[in-house]
Amino acid sequence: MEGQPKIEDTTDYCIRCATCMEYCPVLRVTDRFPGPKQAGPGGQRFRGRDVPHVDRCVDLCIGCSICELVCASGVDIYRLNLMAKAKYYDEHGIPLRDRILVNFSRWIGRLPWVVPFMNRMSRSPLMRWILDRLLGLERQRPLPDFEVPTFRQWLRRRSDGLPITAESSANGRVGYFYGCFTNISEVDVGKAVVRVLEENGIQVVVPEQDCCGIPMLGSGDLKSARAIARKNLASLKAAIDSGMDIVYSSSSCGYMIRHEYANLFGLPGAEDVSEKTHDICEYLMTLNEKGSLKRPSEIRRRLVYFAPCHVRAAGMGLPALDLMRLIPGIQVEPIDEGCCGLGGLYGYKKEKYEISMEIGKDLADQLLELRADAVVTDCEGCRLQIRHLTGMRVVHPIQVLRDAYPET
Amino acid sequence: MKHYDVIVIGMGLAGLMAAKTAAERGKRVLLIGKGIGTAHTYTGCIDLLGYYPAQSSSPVENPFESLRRLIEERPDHPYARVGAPDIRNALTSFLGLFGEKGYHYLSQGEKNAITLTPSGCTRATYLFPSTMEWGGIEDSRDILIVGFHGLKDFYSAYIAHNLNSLRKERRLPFGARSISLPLSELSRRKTAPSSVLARLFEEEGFRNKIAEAVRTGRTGEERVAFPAVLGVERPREVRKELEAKLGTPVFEIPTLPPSVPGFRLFQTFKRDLKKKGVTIIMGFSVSEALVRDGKCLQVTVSSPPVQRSYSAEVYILATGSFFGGGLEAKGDRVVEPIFNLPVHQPVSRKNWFGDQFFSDEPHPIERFGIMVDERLNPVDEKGRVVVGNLHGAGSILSHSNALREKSGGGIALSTGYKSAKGELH
Repeated sequence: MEGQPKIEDTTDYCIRCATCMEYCPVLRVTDRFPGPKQAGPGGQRFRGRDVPHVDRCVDLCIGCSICELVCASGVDIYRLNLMAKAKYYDEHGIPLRDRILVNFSRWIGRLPWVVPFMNRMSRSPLMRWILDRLLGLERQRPLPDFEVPTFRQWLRRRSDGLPITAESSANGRVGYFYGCFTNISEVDVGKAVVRVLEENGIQVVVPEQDCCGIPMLGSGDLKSARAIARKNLASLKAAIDSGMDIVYSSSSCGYMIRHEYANLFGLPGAEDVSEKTHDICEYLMTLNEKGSLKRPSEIRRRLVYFAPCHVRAAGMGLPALDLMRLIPGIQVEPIDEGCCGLGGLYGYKKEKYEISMEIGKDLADQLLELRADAVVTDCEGCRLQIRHLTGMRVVHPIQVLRDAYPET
Repeated sequence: MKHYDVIVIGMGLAGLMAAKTAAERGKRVLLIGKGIGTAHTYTGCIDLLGYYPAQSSSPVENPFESLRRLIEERPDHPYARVGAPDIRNALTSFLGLFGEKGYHYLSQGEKNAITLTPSGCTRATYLFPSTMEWGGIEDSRDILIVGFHGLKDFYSAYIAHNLNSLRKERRLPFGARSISLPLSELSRRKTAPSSVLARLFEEEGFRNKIAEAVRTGRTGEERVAFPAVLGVERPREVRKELEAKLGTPVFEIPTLPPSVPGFRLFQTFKRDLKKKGVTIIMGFSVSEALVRDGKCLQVTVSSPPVQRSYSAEVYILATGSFFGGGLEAKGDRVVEPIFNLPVHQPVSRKNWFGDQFFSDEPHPIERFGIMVDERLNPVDEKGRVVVGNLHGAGSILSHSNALREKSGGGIALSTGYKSAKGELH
């Protein structure tokens, strides 16, 4: 049925082995969260459809889905927590702060002229203090810098003045789902995607798109997420029907589109879109297997790669790592997995900031010890958190590959 | 479709060992696991052969001698398929994962070691972590068993009580006493799972408080036992420091799952595999395999709704038995779900369930599994190879009584080793 999750109820597969308890990053730093086994399949037994929600603690789940990956019995622990969180907020209402936060980047994307004002505001200690007190937006957490022109503006202006050449579209076209953050805060990631694809003779088209909806999931607002998903699906489907594949550079947006639109919402057409949607690195690695990826030239750099939760949860291996290893002169070391601790908007919330920082401490120590030139990771959340924790330079893998394609 | 030399399906001890062995021979390896593997649910000790014959009531003294007998008497047993030399090779290879200086594994020469359990009983095993070194039962020194209020997987009073009962029966030469330390007074937490407690032990401040509390609680016992939570990355240093502070030998007793020694074992393997360039995909099961003319062409990994296929020259099936999902019980028979391989069915449906829970007789359900030849290729009832480029390893293999024999670890390591060692082009 439309709009119904397609996932079976896996609660009873749990054999209580507690392996998930060994890997949960939240449980590691606080005993206020009872851990994935208890909050997930354990708590599920008390969550009937018509019974009021009993355990607010599910709100502390950071949504990394590590529990689900390590579970050898096939229990969808993360999903159980997600549904429980949604039920909780259905009954108690979603706080104003969360409603503002989840829509923030969408609004800025639509009203780029507010950017200079926003940047000034986010740097003002007084303003941050007010937001902290009034909304519970942790003031120690730096807000990202917003950029004008946005990626969308840049691309539009560029295509106006720069006609598509025969070389830049020799190998067809792809649709690019850039995501809110690339649009308003890391425009260079989007530019790098365009550059790399064009160097490979692929023309980049940008289908109509809204936020992928994943921030709403994190705040338990499944209804809004579903409405957005439906909108995005329609335009992505149209792009695919016109013969394009879709690529994404944000692992979180990608995970949402490729997996949750079908699994969580069971939306019609979601599986077709999923089939034609690819992680940018995975897409380029496929070109490489066919022998049609343009050879990168040598750049000497020592990098550390951190695989974000949503890359691991996609079950595709680590295409970013494979891709960077194709670049001569690059030394790249994968770091032991774990969660960076940001969890999207989780780490911005006052009551969760400390947990977020404590989770990230391990990763930060490891990174600082390795003394690499830069950290590479596919997720904007991880990049923000790692910069905040270490002050290191953190980039997207596509920016590394772009640097290995010298400007002509 | 991505192509590898070897694809290993299953991330338990057998799968890890197979991946290591293949990678050491220069193969490009993909390791796929539905979850993180069952190492985390075991003690971290490696059993070789604890009881032989399976129903015997006293443990085997020298497992290698008994193995020789087993190989002669039970030609279908996985150990017989591997053969004595490769069992030794596998153990040597396993031990090589650990440096001499850090956390490593020990044995009592060629003999089985008798170790203590979290229920205050004894059990035979062969290799044990160096942190369990002083837990021997021939040692007549009394033991102080330290537990924690807030650690749910280890009950020190229960262990001490049971050990003292064994002493009364003159089956143990030492006595035991327990204390339980309140976690809330030692740390910022009221409760902690074993893995979290193990990380706390790596903090010096926490260790000092523990040492202080144990010194106060001790009444002359000359050995101190802790749950197996003495550190994750640096268990050797943690133990040495506690010993220095307490002035007595310190050792670990396994906890209920999750097992920190199992975690250490898994992490050691994983680090080694990553260094050797093995690709690991964790969290997704193989949903199907394409077999044509007795040859596997590809396997499909499902991360719904996305399906990805991978191909290889050789495939190794190490998906475990019922617990790991390598075998499934259907209405009237047991099946192997990925390749639908023929499964040895020693008893009919009505005998799947015994009526004696604590019987010395091995349970027939343990002997279910896929049948293999001496190259570990799966075969049918008549001994004909079913899939030529597929090898089986670990507890999915039929004809052992691993639970009763206490042979699971040795079977996993040796069949994992053998499955990936030879005949790989």
